[in-house]
Amino acid sequence: MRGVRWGAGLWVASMLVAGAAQGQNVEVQTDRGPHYAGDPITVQIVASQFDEEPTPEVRVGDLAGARLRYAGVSDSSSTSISFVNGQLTRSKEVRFVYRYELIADGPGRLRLPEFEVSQGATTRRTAAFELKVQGVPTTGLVSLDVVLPKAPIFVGQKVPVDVVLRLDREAQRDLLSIDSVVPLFDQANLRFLDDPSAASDAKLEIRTMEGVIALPATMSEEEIDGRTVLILRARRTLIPLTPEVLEVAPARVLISRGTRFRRDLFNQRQATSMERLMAEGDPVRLEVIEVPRQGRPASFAGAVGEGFSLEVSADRSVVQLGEPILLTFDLRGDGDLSTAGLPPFDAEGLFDPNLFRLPEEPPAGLLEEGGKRFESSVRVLDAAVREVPAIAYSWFDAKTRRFETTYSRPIALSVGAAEIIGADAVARRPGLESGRQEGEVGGDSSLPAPGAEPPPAMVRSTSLAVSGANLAVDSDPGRVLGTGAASRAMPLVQPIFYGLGLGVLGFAAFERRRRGLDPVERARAAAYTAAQRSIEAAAVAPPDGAAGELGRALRELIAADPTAANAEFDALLQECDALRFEPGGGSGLPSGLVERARAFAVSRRDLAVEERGAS
Amino acid sequence: MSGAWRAMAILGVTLLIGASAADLARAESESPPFERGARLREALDAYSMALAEPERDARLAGFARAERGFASLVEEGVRTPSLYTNLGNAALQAQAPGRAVLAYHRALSLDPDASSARQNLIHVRSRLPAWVPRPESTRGLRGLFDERRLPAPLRARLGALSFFLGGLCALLAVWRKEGAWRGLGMFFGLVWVLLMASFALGGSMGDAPLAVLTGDEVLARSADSALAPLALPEPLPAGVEVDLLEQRAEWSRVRLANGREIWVRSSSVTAVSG
Repeated sequence: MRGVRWGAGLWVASMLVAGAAQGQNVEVQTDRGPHYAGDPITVQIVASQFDEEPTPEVRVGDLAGARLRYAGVSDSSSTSISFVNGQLTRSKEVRFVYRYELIADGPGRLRLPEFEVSQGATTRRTAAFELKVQGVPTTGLVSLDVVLPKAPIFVGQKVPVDVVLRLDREAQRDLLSIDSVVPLFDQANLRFLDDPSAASDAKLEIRTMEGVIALPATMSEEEIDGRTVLILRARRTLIPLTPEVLEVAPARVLISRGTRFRRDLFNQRQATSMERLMAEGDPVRLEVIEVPRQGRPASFAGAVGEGFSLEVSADRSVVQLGEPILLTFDLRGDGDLSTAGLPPFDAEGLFDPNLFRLPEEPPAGLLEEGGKRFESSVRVLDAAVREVPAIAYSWFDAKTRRFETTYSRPIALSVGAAEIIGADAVARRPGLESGRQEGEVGGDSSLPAPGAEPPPAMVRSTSLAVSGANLAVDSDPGRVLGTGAASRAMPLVQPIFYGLGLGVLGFAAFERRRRGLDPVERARAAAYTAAQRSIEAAAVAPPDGAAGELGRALRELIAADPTAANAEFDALLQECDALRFEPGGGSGLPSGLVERARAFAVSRRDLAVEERGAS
Repeated sequence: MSGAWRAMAILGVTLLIGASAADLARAESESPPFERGARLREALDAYSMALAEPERDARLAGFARAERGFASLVEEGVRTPSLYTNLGNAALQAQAPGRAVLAYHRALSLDPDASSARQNLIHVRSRLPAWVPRPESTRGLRGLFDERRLPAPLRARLGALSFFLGGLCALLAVWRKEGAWRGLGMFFGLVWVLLMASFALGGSMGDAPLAVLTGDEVLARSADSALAPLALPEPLPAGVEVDLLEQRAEWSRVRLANGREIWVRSSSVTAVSG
C-alpha cells in the first residue's frame, strides 16, 4: 500500500474557516496525488477549537462515483502559555481528526461533497471540491480470481469460495505493494465464515469495507505458458441469507511496481520511480434460490447441509402427571448452525399435543462447540405416556437436492398418578349424603352426585380433599344470576344511603340555622311573615272590613317591631282609619294603598335583616 | 338558593347518578331472565354430566362446555360472585387453571367473602410449581386501597354508608349539642373522603392492575421481542398472578409477585378488571 505523506507538504484541498470570532474551523485534507481509480485515498476532516465534549458529529453530503468509508476519529488537546509584556496568556486548542477512505470507481473528475461538523448549536461546513482521478493501466503480470460454483445455490447452504491470486515472477522482483479487493465480500446478504486453523503457509490480504482481512492461504509456483507464476490460494465459506441473483463487480488487484532503482548504503534496492498497474477478474454472478417447497417434511426448520444428528435428553425419567420435564436437544451437523432452529413441537414427527403440553414457540438455541443446544420443558398430560418419542429433524441436503430426516432416540418415562385437578377430584365420597360434596364450605348448594355407583378414581378425590378445593357449583339461580331479592336490592343500597344522607344533612343544616337564630329576631321574623299574610288577606277582604283588617295588620307589625314605626307607617295607618270610619264606608281599599302597605312591610323586613347582619 | 344549598344539591345529584349509572347500564344489556335461567340450567347440566363421565376426553369436553355456558352468562352482563365461582370451577375441571384463577379473582372482586372462590384460589396457588412466585396478603394502611383486599363495589357501598352515618351524626350533633356526635360525624366524613380518594387516586398510587397468565407455558422474555433472551429458565404455567405494568401491541410487561419484571405475549395475560 502506498504510504501517505502528511506534514508541511500536505495538500489542503479545501479549507473553510467559518465563525472566526468564535474560533471554530473545519478543514478537509487529502493525501498528495496523483489519485487512481480503485486506489484508496485518505481524507481527513480536521475540526479545531470545538469544545472537548461532546465529540462533534460529521455529516457527509451526497457522493457519486466513489465509495467513502469512515475509518475513525481521534482527538487531541494542547495548552500553550505565553508571557508577553508582563501578561500571562493561557490558550488551549482542541482538535478532532476524522479519517475516511475514499475509493473512486473510475477515472475522471470526482466531486468530494461538503462535510458538515456540528457540536450542539455550532455548525461548520467545508466547501465541496473536485479531485482528479486517473485510470490505472491493466497488466497481465498479475490476476485475481474468485471461484464460485456455477450452479444455483440454496439459502443457508455453505458454499466454498476460492480466491486465487497469480503473480508473475517478473513482477515479483520489482513489486512494491499489492492491493486486492473482492467486492463479493462486501455483499450484505452474504455471510462468510473463515477457518483460522486451516493449513496455510502465507496470508492473502483482501481489503473490504470493514478493513483489511488476512486469509490463510497456500502458496505454490506453477509454470503457465512457459512463465513461472506464484499462486496464492485462500478459501472462505459463503452462506447466502436471501434468495436473489447477485451481479457483483469483479475482483481487482492493484500493484505498485518500481521502474527505477538505486542502491542505498546497505546495498538495498530503493525505488526512485514507480508505476501502478491493475488487473480485474471476471464479473461475479451468483444465483441464490430457496429450498424447494415441495416435499418439505413438517420437521424441516430451514437447516441446509448434510450429516445432521439430533440427540435428546431429559432431566428426569420419573414424573408426575403435569410436572415439567426439561428436555435438552443437541443438534450437530455440517451446515449453518447459527441460523438452524427446531421445528414447532407440535409438528408431525415431534410431540403429540394431546399427550404433552408444549411451549407455544420452540426455544432459541445456544451455539456450542461442535453444535447447537436447545432447552425446553414439556409436561405430560396423559398418564398413558410411556416415553418421550423419537423426535424427527429434517434438513435439506444441497448436494443430493433431497430432504433428509434423522430421529433422536426415544426416552422412557414413568408417569405417576395425576396430581392436577381432575373431574374425579370432586367425586362423591361413599356414604356421603347426596347434595353435599366433600370440601364444600359455606352455604353453596352442590349438584346431586350422578349415578349410584361411585366413580372408579375415588382415591384421588381424597387427596384433593386434603388440599381443600371445593369444586361444587352453586345451582341457585337467584344467587348465580343475581335475581334474588337481596341481589335486586343491592344496586339500590348506594342511592338510598346517599339520598338519606343528603336528606339528613340538609335537615341538620336547616335545624342548625333555625336554632342559631335569636328568639326575639325569630319572633320578629314571624311577625313580618304574619303581617304580610294579613295584608294579603285584607286585600281580598269584603269592602266594609278591608280597611280595618289592613290597619290591624300594620298595628300588629309595629307591636312586634316598634322600631319599624315611621312617618310612612303613620300615613298608612291614618289612611286606613280614615277609610274605616268614613261615612257610608264600604267602598273598599284603593289598590295603591295595598301596594304601599306591601312595600312598607317588605322594606322594613329587609331593613331589619340588614341591621341584624350588620350587628 | 344559597351557595351552600346549591353545592349540596350538585353533590347529591352527582353521587346519585354515579351510584346508579353502572346498575342502569347493566340492566340495559341484560337478556330476559327466563332465557338466562335456561342457559344456566344447560351449563349446570353440562357440569353434572361431566362429573359422571368416566372417559377422560369426554369429561374434559363436558367441563369445557359448562365453562362456555357460564362464560356466556358473564358476557350477557351477569356479574355475581356465584357465577364467577362456578365459571372458575368449570375452568379448573377443564384443566384451564389460568382462566380459573381469573374467574376466582373476579368473584372475589365482587364479594371478598366468597369463601369457595378464595378457597379454590389458594388451592390453585398451592399447585403451582415451587419456584413460581406467589402473591402475599397485603398489610398495613395500604391495604385500604388494595383492590384485592377491598374491592371497588364494597368500597362504594361503604362510602355510601359512611356518608349517611356522617349526616346522621351531624343531625344528632345539632339536636343534642354534644361534641362527641360532631367528632363521630367528622370521623365518618373522613372515612368517606378516604374511600372516594381511593377511587380518584387508585390509578396513580403505584398499584398496577392485577392480571393472570391464562396462556399455557408462557415464555418470559427480557424484552418485547420473540428474539429477546428468556428471562426465566422455565416457562410460567397458567394461573400465575401478576401486576400488569405496560402493554405494547403483542407484548405486555408484567411484574411477578417477587417483584421481577418480565415481558410476555399479550395474548397470554388477562387483566382481572376485564
